[in-house]
Amino acid sequence: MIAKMARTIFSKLLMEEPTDQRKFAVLMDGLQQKEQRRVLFEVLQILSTDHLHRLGNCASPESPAMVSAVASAVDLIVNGASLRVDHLVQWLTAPSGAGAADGVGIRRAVLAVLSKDMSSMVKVLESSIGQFADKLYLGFTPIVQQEGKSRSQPQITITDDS
Amino acid sequence: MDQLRPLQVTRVNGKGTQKTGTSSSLIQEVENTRDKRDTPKSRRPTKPEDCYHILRDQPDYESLTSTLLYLSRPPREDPDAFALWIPTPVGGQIIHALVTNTAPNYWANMKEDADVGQDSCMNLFVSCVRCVAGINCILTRLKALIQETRSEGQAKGPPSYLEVETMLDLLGRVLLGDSIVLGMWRDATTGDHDKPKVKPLTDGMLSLFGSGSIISVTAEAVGLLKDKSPDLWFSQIPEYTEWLACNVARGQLESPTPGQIRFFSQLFERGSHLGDFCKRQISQSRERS
Repeated sequence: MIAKMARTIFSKLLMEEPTDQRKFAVLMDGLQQKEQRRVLFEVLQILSTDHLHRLGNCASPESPAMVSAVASAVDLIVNGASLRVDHLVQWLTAPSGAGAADGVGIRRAVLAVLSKDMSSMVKVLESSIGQFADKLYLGFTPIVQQEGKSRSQPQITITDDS
Repeated sequence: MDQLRPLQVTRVNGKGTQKTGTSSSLIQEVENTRDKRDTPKSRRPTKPEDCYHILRDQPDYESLTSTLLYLSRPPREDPDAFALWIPTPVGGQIIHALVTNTAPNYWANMKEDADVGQDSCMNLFVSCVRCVAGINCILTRLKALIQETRSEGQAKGPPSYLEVETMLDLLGRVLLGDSIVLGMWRDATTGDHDKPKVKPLTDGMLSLFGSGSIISVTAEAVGLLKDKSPDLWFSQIPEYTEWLACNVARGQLESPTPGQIRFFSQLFERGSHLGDFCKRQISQSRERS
């Protein structure tokens, strides 16, 4: 029931209360590390499905305003806590993480939040590059296909040290 | 006839013949019992022990109201004053008497004039039971009733069904609202923040609201009522979670102290695991069967 819980508290503390929107972050500070991660990812999911799903592709005219609104909401939740920033980096770069399944809008918003911090941007970039090329091929192409290809084209050797 | 004469002389008003003497002596009897009943009515409770005795002795409606008024308005400025939410032997007895005696006996009456206002008997009663011990007592009573109907089958059906309904209705009134948990938290911590009594109280609240025991017990009770089962929000996980989330949000919104933030964070954490726990229970019970 974390989805229900997070959704209700999120809407009560962030969407309906414009005077002090940092109360959600304060509430999250009291949670355990693992729980913070769960709640944070849940909120990202909520933002993605509730507010960004209509964007379609990233070129639509209303997308900049929408994405920046979502980004500011995420920023209020993160509230500068390094732990949650790390979680966002993980969310963006995990090969099979939650970030991969969601639309491009929420990824843009999360990147916008992280853009304030140079070192985390570097981390995101590094691990994103790391996921491409041979690693991506090894990770996502079915084994059978990989074996077949290596047999039919014996001159190509797949190495994992790139 | 001669035997009646002293009665006429000593106890009755002493007018009329011997025959009217018999009838007036009967009237005298009635007046006597009325006088006896008048004594506790006029004697309002001044200490918690009085409350327990009054509640135990099948009080009339007025003395019940005055007792509840006494119980629900403890002097807040005095931290050592008696309050129902502080666990004491007398408090426990009073709560037990309220839930197991007063609620079933007076529920119909209280329901009739529940809309009178803030000081209606129903409001006072509900505010008395609105504490960890009170809610736990309701749940225990429900469990006992469920056990009873299970073991006796249909032999003793209707009365205990009625009591199950009463308990569910009472619990619904106790829990209704966004600021219930906040109010209980304030009750528990007002006055003495550092006393060692506070920790068990807040822990009790956490395990009561965060463990899903309310859901499981009431769901079983609702299942017992079968055909006329009411649609109760606190017996269903989504609605209950929504309620808990609203309460957490409310507690967070109202100028929280550090202790309050920690408490509501913990409640948030517990609440977010509610469904997991129930799912696990269900899958375990399916595996067993």
